[in-house]
Amino acid sequence: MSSRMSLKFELLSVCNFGCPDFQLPRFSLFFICINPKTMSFPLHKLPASAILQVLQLMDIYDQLTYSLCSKNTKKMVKSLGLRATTIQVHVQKKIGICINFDNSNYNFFWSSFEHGYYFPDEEFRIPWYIEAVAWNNVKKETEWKWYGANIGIREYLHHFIDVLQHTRIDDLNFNDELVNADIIVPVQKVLKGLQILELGLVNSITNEFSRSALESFHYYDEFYLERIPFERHEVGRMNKIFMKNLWWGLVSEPGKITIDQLLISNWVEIQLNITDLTEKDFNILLKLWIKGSSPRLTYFYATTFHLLDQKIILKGINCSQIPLDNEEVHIRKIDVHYQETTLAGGSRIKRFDGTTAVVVIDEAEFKIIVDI
Amino acid sequence: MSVENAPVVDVDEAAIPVEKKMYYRFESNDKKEFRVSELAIQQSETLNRLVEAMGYTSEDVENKPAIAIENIDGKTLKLVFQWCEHHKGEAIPVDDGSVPKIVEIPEFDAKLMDIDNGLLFKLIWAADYLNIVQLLNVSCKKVANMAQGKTPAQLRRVYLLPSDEEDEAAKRAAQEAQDPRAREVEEEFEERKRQGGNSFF
Repeated sequence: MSSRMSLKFELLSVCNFGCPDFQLPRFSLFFICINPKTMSFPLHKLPASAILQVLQLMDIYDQLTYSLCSKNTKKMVKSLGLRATTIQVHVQKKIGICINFDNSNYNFFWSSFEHGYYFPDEEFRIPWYIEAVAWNNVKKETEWKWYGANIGIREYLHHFIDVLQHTRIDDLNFNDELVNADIIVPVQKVLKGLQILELGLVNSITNEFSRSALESFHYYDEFYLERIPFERHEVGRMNKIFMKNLWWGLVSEPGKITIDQLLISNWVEIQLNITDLTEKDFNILLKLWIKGSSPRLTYFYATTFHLLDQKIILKGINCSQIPLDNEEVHIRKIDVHYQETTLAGGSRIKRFDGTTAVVVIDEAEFKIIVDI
Repeated sequence: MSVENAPVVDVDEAAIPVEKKMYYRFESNDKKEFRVSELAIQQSETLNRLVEAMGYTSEDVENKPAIAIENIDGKTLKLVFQWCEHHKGEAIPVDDGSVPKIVEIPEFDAKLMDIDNGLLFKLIWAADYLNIVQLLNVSCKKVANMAQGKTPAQLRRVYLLPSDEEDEAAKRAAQEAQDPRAREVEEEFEERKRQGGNSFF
């Protein structure tokens, strides 16, 4: 027998198995060759229902890889209706695209690209290779390195945005001191046409880079900063950030933020991890909130270097104490997680329009939780 | 139960089991005959409907010619009936539409499918044709597993995937093979659309 095995299905004119009332559907006539010594399998020569079945039985990571094979395979995977919980772009020594598939954040497909040399105002060049790794909980599910892919970073990202019918980039994250401001325009070209939910500038990112990034990306709903990159005399530049009507902002070292900046902000949630705001500042914040300032605010959290004095914070404010045995709990959604705060021992205040909020002071922590 | 012990019997190889159970006789396109129990047949929706429609008695089975399955060869059909005999009486799974589907390949099935890709290909065609849901599930799962850890370039080789150009050429060829009158009508319709007309009439 030759090493190439011919495989043939006969055209069935009428197959009634000896029963005149019964007819089986026809096979189509085709010839294909399979070399039994190789591992190849002519998937697209199977009946359409079986191709779909094979596709549905692949791991989600293999489905994504399969979608990259041709326009046709992309269309097939898109038709499966797969959905990602988040798609993130991380800019560091490499550019990483992280596709998350469940709320735990431990089920993801991570692709990375060596961006190598790039020109400040141009798109990244097509990378030599693309690396991908997928994890599900603590188990590595797949890993590959694709040389000669001939696909640009922008094309690759938009491919998955389209296949997963995702509408935005959930997180654009710069987190390496070695990235410099020249990379911003090439990154903007990659993201052109996509909405950014969250901008993150963390770890050892330089102040110079943070300033450029904050002033280059204009539209995002949330951000987190390691520290305020502007000097005290650059109040105008800083205030532009506070006036962005954000949904959520977190600053890990917000030393330079003043109470005035907080008052001009129109953010929904504010989180300042170690601030040098004082009890008197918090008192002013509460009194102005009662009068109608920061109308969109639903959550404010700050920690300070020192223990807070509740009496100073609540001085002159009409509030009611929540009994210590009260079982009221506030549940707040953060990305895909939930945070619970016990309200017992807190103080309920009321704004002029009847909206109430609970002030929780615990050692160096200060929270305002608006009842919604 | 091992593959070898599965109760599929070629008529010319072994004695016919004498039981009260009903057995049907099938013949492959290369004239190999198989005796398959009624319960095993139930795994195949197509064959089950067929034998129901035929209303055979035990005597008919013996006296009438074997039921011909003209487009499946003996080697493939033997695997199919071995699988059906091993899984006879098992519930037929219902597709709940979830993606990715969860299918485990049992040890018996894994051994049964320890075959070259040519035969696996024929087995899937046969399972699809005979509508054997779980055999189709496990055989497709085996093919799906071939994708694990592969790059797109490797997948193109493993699955012999056509390139975009080849897909385009195939599409054009299919269009050209259409009925010429239908193509004329289509072209006329396109032409009228270009000219701004909404209706064909």
